[in-house]
Amino acid sequence: MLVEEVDPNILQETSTLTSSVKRPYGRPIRALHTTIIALEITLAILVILSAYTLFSSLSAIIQGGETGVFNVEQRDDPETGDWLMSFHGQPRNQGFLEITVVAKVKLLSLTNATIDSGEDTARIPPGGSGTFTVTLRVPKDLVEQGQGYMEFELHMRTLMDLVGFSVRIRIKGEG
Amino acid sequence: MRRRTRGIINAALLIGLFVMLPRVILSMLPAELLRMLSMDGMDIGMVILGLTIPGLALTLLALMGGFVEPRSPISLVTAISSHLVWFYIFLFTIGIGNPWTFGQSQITGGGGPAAITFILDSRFFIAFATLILGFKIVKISFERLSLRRQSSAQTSPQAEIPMGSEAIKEP
Repeated sequence: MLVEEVDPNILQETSTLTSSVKRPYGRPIRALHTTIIALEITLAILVILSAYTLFSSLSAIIQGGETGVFNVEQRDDPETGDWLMSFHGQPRNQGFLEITVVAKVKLLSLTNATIDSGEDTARIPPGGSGTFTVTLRVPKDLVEQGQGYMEFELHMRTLMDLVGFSVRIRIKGEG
Repeated sequence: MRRRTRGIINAALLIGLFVMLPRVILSMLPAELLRMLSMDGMDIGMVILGLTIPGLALTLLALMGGFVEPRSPISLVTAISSHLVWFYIFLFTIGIGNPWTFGQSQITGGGGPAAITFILDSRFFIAFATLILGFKIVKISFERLSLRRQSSAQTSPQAEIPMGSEAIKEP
């Protein structure tokens, strides 16, 4: 599929016929043949580069430890008693193409109503690293109840944001 | 004879690639990994079957391609069908076993209080592959048209023989 060849049957057939007759549509066929090969090679290279960039960066985030996505810092707001939760990340791009990392965090009630949400975006060049911080305010009554959902979304895109993947983790808090 | 041999060899290779090789790989995979995949909602048996069916279709088309006349309409249909099946296999691979997601596949897993969803967006590659498929169909059509023109140009002196002549009578 990836490397197109001229059908040998046709070449054989054509070569016997071209001895006396010039092949019609020879130029368009050759041009199409070259175009198809060029496009197939380009597609294969883009698939390999994108897949490598995305999965190497994802594995770097997962194995990131202190510099990973899920570094959570929790503070209390002394005036209201709410919690302020900050999610920090320092993803690294170990691939060959620039990546865009979007981190979204949502706090949902048991009826799926959004209580608070936040997101941050980082564009990371190949071999570099970026940072993002998302801060959420958890109301005091929800802290006391301890019931609801926390939803993390991590979007990673590459190849001028044309391809990518996202991971969504939803955790239920049961007070 | 050469064309037929090539068709048979291609068919044998396709059988090996799409029918035998996936089963050999499946038998070599650790049972723990298979259990994890099935827990994540991926039926590996269905994935293998999903590769076997287009593999058998490609085998049949390769055999047909080896036995039909290259200038015949059946040859044109066979060549285009073969590219369409290859495109289906591309969709199947990109869609992680589900070709009809057209590049936006989703895997949901997890258990207990946590649910994890992976969404892979590769619609750009599908659009790119569709463009290549279009070019291939145009190229095949031109090739067949070229063959027809050539053969008709070669047989045209016979066409000028007056009706009733022995030369134009079918054997």
